Amino acid sequence: MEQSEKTINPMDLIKKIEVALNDSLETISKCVSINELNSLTVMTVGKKSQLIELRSQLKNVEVSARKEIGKVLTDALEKVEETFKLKQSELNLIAEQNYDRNDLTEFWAKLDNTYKVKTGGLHPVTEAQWDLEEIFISMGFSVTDGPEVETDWYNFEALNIPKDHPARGMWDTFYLESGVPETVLMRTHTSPVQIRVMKCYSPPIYTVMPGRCFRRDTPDARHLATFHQIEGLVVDKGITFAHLAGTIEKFTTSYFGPNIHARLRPAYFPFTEPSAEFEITCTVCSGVGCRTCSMTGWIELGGCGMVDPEVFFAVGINPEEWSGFAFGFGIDRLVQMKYSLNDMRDLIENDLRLLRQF
Amino acid sequence: MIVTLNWLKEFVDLPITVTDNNSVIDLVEVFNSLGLVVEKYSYYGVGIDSILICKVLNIAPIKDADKIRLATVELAEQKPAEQKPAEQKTVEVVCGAWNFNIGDFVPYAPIGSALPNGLEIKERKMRGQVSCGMLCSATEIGLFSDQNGLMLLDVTDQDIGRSIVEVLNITPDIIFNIETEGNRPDALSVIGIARDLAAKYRIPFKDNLPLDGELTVENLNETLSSKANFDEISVVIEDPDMCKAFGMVEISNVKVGPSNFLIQQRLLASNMRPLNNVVDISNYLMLERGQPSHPYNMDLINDRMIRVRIASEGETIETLDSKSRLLGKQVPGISSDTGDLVISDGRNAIGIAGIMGGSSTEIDDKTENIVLEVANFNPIAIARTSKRLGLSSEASKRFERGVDPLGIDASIVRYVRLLEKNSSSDICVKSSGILRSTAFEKVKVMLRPKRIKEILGIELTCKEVKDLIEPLGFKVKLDVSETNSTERVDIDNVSADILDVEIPSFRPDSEREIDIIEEIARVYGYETIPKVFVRPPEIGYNFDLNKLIKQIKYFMVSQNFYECWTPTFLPIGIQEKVNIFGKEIRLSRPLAKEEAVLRMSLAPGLAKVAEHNDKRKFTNINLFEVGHVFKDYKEETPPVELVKLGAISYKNQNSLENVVEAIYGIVNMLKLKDVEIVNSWEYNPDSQTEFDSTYDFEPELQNHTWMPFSLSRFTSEELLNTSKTFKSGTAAYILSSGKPLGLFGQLSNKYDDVFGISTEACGYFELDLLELLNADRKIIRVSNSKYPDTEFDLAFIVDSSVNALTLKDEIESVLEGYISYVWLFDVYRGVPLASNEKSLAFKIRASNPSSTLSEEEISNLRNKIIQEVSVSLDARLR
Repeated sequence: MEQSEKTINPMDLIKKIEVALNDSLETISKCVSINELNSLTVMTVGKKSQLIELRSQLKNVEVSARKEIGKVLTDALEKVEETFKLKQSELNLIAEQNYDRNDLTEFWAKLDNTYKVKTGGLHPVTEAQWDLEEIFISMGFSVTDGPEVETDWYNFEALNIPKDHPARGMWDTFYLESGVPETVLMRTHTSPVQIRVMKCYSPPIYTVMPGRCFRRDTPDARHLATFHQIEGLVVDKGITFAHLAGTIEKFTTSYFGPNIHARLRPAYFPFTEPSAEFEITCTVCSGVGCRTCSMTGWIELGGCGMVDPEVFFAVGINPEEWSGFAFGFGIDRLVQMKYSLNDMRDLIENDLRLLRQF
Repeated sequence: MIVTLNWLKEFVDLPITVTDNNSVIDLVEVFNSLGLVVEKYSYYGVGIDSILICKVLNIAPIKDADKIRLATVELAEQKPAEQKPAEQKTVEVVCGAWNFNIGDFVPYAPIGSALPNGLEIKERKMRGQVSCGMLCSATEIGLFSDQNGLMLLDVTDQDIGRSIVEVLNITPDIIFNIETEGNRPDALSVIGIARDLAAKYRIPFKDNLPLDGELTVENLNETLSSKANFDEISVVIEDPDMCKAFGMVEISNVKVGPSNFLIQQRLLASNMRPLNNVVDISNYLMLERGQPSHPYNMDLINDRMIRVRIASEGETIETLDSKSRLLGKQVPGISSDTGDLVISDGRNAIGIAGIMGGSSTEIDDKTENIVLEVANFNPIAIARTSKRLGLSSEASKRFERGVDPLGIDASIVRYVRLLEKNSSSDICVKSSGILRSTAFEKVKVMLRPKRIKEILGIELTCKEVKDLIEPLGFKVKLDVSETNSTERVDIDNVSADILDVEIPSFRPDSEREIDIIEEIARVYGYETIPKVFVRPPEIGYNFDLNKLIKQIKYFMVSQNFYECWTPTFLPIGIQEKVNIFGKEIRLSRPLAKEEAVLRMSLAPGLAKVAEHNDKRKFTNINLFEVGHVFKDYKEETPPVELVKLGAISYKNQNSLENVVEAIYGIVNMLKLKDVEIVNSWEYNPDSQTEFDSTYDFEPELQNHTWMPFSLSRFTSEELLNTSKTFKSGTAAYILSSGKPLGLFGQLSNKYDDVFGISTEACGYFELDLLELLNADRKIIRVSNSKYPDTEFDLAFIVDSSVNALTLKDEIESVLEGYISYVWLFDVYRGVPLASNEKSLAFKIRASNPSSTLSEEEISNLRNKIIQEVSVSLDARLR
């Protein structure tokens, strides 16, 4: 060091410190890898850094200015050190990520092998049935079941459909081979469960009965010979048609959503009087009118009505004391609507390519 | 049922016009609210004012075209009246129809006009030929015809060039296709539907013929008798139960010819083919008034007599459709209490009563004298005969539901009036009358207004009730006993406990108080009844079996099984082919032979689905189903039903192990008590405790079991039978507390042949869910040790027939008092072991609840185990 430097202008030194600071900061910021940064340690924050070198010049500044310049220099050194550390942790993180980079989507994509099924699934009819059961249970209904093979009495006679009744034509029936023809049959609806419940339990009765039913109809895109139904039955004191309408409405908004409503229109069933078909707001167009609902804004869902006194007589309930209502509809139809399934027959094929999608 | 707006307006002055779209939409809503659902509706005679009548002058081929021809047609140039008379004008039109000839009159749409479907007619060039306009089919101009191709018109040369609307007197109309309910005979008539509308719109209903006024039919007498002699024909009702009334009219000097355009169009709209005036009017009458009738050629009635009688067995008749029908035959399932009712002359049957006439007395062009039958037959008899013969007609559909017994006279009058207008001759009504074998009795029903409130939830005054249903034909009066005096009480101002309601004769579906309440609701409007949510007094439950099913289905899904839904019906004989034994339960009339018997197991259905998906190149096929299977059908009482869980695992790395894992999971999930796995080759039914053969829910119905029917459980014999559908060496029973729950293993080799699956790559199990539900559950007492477990391994060489679980049990029995875990971790067969030996290696982990196990204690336990199993199972340490 030269003696003449003793008279260094303090302002010059401050400028030099500033330049050195900016220089060091720039060098650090330009670093792209941790290795590069580490190799620059001595140059930036180490003994050979420009700022350290400037420190040796401090003694050449007049004493009165030394304190102030010393602070500037210390601040600059701190600033560089801080920046260096920040950069170091940033580059360390990048380095770490670069070392252990795994593509987890590979595992996922492997699972998408349609033909090597790694998951299981419920049948959509089961899902729908459980959803319905849950809603009705929460409304205070119990769930009941009955046999799939029935006698003529439970399936027809007790429901006010005597033999030779023209209304029998409404249900094409599979009978079992038997000694006396047409005595034992596959139930055509879950209504015989209503008869069983009314015979077994005394009112008040609030129940729904889901189950498999059978009709001797050639299957097509909208009908299956084997299908699933859910029916409901209420028997209590003072039950009226207004309650029927209210219950259907409650169920409809609970299951389909608050914007879907129900309406009843007159119909005929031998086991109810008055009888009604119930329609709901078209779920496709929300009632505006579309092809699904033939521009009416409504789609037909099921049948319902006040339990006919004849049915009460058959099971030994006094219709003057008790009244009640019943309703029913197809679960498979709901599934078909929900998934826009073109052909109902696809449901019974059990092709895993289809089952996987539900 | 087809009705048209104008036809309805003949009976009720509806405030609807064809052009007012809103009023039409309103009408459709009213139809629906009455339960007369409009399936569709279409406009008729609208937008065809520019369609003209033309005459075909020439038809010529077009070069290079084989589907279209060139027709030259004549039109008259329309000129204002004060100018010259109409000039002849011809145009050339290219036409694709082939049903017309030179000289025919057809509809013509001129250039610049538009068809009802919106198609605008422009000059077009086809195959180089310019077509000036279009010749139309009936459909194209919204009219009806029974012809394919152009609509051929029955008009004359004077009509050429005139508007079709004007010449044929076409009034714009709307045609409604109404879906009617099975119980409403009156809804199968225009008059019945009009009556409903009148009530709903609260406007008067008026018949289109004044019955009180002069009748053109003379001597229309009613006699209470089964016999009568008319001018020409004598009539006998031989079975009064089958025919309550028989009306008849003899008409001579009839000229058979076409009926008028309107009648023809309305018949065609109703899918009935116009034949001639005599027949058409009979059909028209049926559509309009719901009363079927039948015209006979009077001159062909043998012995001038008509007998209404039951056909004898083996009697035949040729019906109007030229088919020979065998009468009086027995058909299983249809009661033969009522025979086949026929109308016969002195010799043969000339018609099947209420269903179809015979061809022997058919009306033809030369017929001059006719007898019209307007009768009332027993609905049940007609339904049975129709079912027996497999022959249904528009008439039988109405008779089956019940035709108005008091509508005969009006129908006869209407027929005669229509025929007068539609016959080119002056017809002569010779004699007419109605025979009533049984007097008609009015039906009266007691109606309690409080009952209306109880059923419908709405309160109505007597006057409101009256106003609602009297327009439908019901008559509402105060009960005589109530008024208790001779003085007249005005129903409008009283409230009564009981009303007397007289049912109109055309509503046989209404016969009880509740039926009248339905009518009240219908006219009042279902949509007007408030919606009230009912609050059940108890909370809702699911029944136990259903809860179990839910639990199990979720579990199976978690094991990567997919739920299936396989048919309840299987092909005949297939179950026996795969060793599912038991008496086959057959359907009496299956839809297909592939679905003809009830399943006794879920295995065939699931095997088929496995094969289906295998064919579609799937691996890891895991499927399950929960469903009913059937057994023990003794005829007349339904078979026993079992609820099963079946699961198949196919083409997995280890399918058999998959199913065992699933069962293991279920057993543990349900915490079943004392579970045993017994290989089928170890199973000796005699050594097992006898279990109840059936399990009846009904007698012990608890509050919330909610299962009002009995299900059955296994018998030991059945269990043995069931095992046969498995490979005998690779199947095991699972038991809990000594009661079998089901079987698992590999399906028998027979499945390879029958279903085309490889049973080697397959595991299957079937569990009885009712058994699972009723199986004893472990009482869980939780305990844990604070001290560390000690672990050691022991491998034993045993005879290969030793059940691994038995060895495990033996080991565990030594460890009683310790908290222990014992599991098999390796199985080895092969050298250096003898061929009938296997090595089973167990890991044993144990801890003492009160202290750390000492080296000595551990050593003692080891030795004790080795000694115990050596004694009980001849096992030696490897």
